[in-house]
Amino acid sequence: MIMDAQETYISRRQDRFRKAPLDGQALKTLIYAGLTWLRTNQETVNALNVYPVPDGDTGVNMVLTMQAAYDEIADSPEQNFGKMIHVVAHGALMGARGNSGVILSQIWRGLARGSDEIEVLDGRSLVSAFAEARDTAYKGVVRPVEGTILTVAKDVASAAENILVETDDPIRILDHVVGEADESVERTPDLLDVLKKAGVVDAGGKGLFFILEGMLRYINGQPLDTPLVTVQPLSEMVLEDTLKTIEPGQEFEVVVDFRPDNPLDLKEFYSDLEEMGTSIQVGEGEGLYRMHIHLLTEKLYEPIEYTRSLGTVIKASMENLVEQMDEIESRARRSQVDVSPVEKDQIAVIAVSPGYGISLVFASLGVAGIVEGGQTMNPSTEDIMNAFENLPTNKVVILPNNKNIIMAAKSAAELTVKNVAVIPTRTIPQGLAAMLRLIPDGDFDRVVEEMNQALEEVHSGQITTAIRNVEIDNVEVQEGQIIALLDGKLVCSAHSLEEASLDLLVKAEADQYELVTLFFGADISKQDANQIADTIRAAYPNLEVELQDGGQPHYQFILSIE
Amino acid sequence: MKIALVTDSSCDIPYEMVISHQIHVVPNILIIDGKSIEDNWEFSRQKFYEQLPKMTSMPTTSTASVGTYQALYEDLLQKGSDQVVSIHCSSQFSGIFNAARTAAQSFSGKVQVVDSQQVTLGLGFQVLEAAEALTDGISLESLLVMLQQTRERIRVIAMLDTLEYIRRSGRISWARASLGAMLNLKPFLEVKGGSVHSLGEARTRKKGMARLFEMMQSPEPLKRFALLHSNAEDDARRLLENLAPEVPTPPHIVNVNTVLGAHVGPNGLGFVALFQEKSLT
Repeated sequence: MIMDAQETYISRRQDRFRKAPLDGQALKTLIYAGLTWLRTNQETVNALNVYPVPDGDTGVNMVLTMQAAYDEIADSPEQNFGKMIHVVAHGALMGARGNSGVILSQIWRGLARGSDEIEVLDGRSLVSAFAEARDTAYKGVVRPVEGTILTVAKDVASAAENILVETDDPIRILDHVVGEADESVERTPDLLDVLKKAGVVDAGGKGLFFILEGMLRYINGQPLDTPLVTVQPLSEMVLEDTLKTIEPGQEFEVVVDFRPDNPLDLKEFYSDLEEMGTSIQVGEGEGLYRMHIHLLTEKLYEPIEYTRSLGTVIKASMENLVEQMDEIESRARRSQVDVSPVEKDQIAVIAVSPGYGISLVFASLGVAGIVEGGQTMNPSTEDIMNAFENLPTNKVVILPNNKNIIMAAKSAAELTVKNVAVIPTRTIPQGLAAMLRLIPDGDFDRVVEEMNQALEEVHSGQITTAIRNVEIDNVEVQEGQIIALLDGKLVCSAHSLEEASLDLLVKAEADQYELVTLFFGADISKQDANQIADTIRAAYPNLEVELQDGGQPHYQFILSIE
Repeated sequence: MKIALVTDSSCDIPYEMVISHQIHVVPNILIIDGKSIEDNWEFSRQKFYEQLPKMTSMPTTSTASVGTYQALYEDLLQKGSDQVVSIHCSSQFSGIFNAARTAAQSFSGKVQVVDSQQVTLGLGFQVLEAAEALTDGISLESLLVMLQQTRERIRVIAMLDTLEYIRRSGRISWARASLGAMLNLKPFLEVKGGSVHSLGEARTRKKGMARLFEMMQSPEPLKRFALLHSNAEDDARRLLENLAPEVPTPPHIVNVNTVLGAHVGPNGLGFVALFQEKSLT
């Protein structure tokens, strides 16, 4: 029986792992395993977003958070488990991105707290560390929601406690916990209605599962670099964002389209590619395969030669990643915005901005610092801290301007000795409304209170292209349609930008308001934006319509209705 | 001892009060298309604000000459005043204070020039307080101390309809007004300690007026109160109608002087409040 053979293999591997103590160095290896497995599966996690809008980077956020945690310990010779896990927790905290990253960092913080005096991990301490992780994670969230990563952390802690009556072997506990975590993730749609409606499980929970499973897979001697789902439909392959996942040392990106002579043995195909490079993606459509890989210059032609050996190469392209990264960096430098100097004792505002034009507007309103980021790139806790740590004032206000950045901002506020208030702005219009209430020399608490009140003064619209089919908030959406969100809720889907814009304004009851500001994004020309602004003016003659170059990615329009 | 009061036309004290309190008001100068115009009682503020947006070149402002001040001081001292107290617009915004001070130097201590650190009725209320105290026979030393204390109890806040004029005037230090990407904003300003401070902005006039109204709600009893506007009397009256009855009557409604107005533009709204002295009990 094959299963028996595999079980024997695994149990032999586990025994081998048991021979070494579960100390600081063992923890380092396990962290790396968890990180690697999560990275291998990050696209799976990214795909689990509720709204069909391009903000599904939970996988990227969790990978970057884990990477920051691992970077802290990569060169550490520390033997003591408790000491090592505290360093991990610190790294995760500073590198936390997105809400899921912040909760993940809280889980590490709890695990560290629960392991204070532990030199070598045993089963009992593992169980109490999981319990502490659950408690710390729940405490880190103002209103805990079930059906999220929190629930998975809770179920993990319970599973660990339950199995303790049978065994105090940490590896058997982990084995049991991973199975329970898997089931817990599958149950999340039963607890959280939005997940059920969107037909997905919770992304953060799934990420946590992959980290734990990665550790177990390492112990079991199973590969960590081959995702279980390997080939995507060619039509869904998105290669634009692969630059985000470049690892140091990669120099070239190679994409080859080919038609294999014989059916591909995917497992073999992948493992051959992994000899050559990383960031491997494979797509297939009607017998045509597209292979994507990042590699070193000296291996540049290997994937082409290799695919030629399998069939007919239709097209091959290569790009110098180092050049591309330089270009991205210099573009980022060029887009730096001058901000107002802040004086001692004045209130400094830090705003997160997704585009150059929006940064300029925030700068013109007097922000002291801008953190680039937004929908698809969430800044880390450390990125946010860096924006204000060196300012000559103690009073700082952060405008996250995105619901997925609020927690990282709060985490930055907790880590600094400065007096920092986070205004929970979920959109750019809310951020601007709050910014208008800034009185640099005013009383800090009062200004913060006023800024908080300002959030209700404005309605926020967002217009983007749907990235998949879904029915949510009673709106049916086809991939590629233009969709509109009003205050974060999907209100319509349409076939044109104009139709979506007008429909959104009807839903917002725009005729009851005075002013609509349209921030047009990087993907739309000023001319097209102007045309839509004119259409809105014609439809609402009493409304003042102002057009601004926002420069944000993915969103054709961000609207402020007030 | 007889003390004469001098100020300049940026004080915005209504004509009847200038007459009844025997205050000497020196007109400031407006330069429109190269022509100097005195900001005196004949000059129509309403017309000025109506024409302001259409003017091809921005009007500039100037102070009456040192000679004008010198002649006035000399005249007052010759006609029986023992002392002159000359109170003016904040020295950080205009050269008026300096012109007056230079003129005063020829009168060996008989002319005291005071920097009110304020504008419009922020200055005007100080002058009116001085006038009333002089009627009660206050000494020069006490008057100067009193003026300083009065200044601390004054609040001057304005909402401009646009940043355009103040940006072009270059009179505010915050560089942000010169930045390119600018939303259509209605800035709130406070004049305090002689300079202008930002109190944030509003995007629409309706919201701006609501916020201005909130700022007008006084936590302390008022002694004097004035509503300011630059050709927006209807809006000013609307704000006043809703105000609590604690406002001293009659509150002034003032179309602000053109020297200030050239820098803030039409359709501005604001208020000046003078709080009562806190009783020591």
